[in-house]
Amino acid sequence: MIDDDRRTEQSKVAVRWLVVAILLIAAVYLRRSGTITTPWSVILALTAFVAAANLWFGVLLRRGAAPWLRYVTTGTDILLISVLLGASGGAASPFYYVYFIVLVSNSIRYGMRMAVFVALLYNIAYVAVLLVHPVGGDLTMEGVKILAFWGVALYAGYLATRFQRQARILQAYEETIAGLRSRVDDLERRGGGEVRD
Amino acid sequence: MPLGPGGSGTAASRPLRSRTVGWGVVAAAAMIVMIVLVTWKATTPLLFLLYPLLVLGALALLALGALWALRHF
Repeated sequence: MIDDDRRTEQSKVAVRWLVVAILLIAAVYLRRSGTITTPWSVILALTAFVAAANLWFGVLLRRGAAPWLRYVTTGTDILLISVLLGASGGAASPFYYVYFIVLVSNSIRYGMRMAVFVALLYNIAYVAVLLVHPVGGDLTMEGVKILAFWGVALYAGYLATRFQRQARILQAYEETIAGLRSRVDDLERRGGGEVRD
Repeated sequence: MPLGPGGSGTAASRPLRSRTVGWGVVAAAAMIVMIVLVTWKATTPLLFLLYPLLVLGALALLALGALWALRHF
């Protein structure tokens, strides 16, 4: 179980490097084209912070993965995305959809509990973003966006839970078959091969 | 009180009474109405902080009602 967590978190570290690189390229491009007005210092500071956090996660994972680590890494991701959103236009930021990468990748890996955790954290963080960057006027669209995120989170969590249950059932079958095979072999050794017939 | 097809035991032996479940479903419906009202009429983003409570509460109560109706408990 701990080894599973470790492998999963290590793969998340690798994916995080890739996502950070893509986001950095996108931020630089959007900043140069004038689509966002995020200061260069913020872009560089955020990139440096994510890189440092990812290196730290990598070091932690060399010793193994504590059960709480998955929540820390996911929480850090959500927090950093929210800062990026806040610095690049709030609700209108082109980086809004990065939340979904965190949601889907973690929900599929860890199931319903993580899906609810991500949705809860997103809900709080996005409200903070809306407070820092007020939309002005009607907030219905923002409410719908949060509800849609909850919908995706709960559905992804449900599907992941179903897959996990099926995997457990399959594993139980495999163990049963292995047990029966060893019993058959044992009986064959004692009875001279009459059992298989 | 006799149970319907597929049921076992008596209604009195069930851990939740129909009235309790009924109130649960009513509360779920009220929460769904509140979700709609918050989404539609919110004047501050702070009201969106009610979503976790409302969404999870409504789902949990509806699941409770559905499972009770299907005689899981």
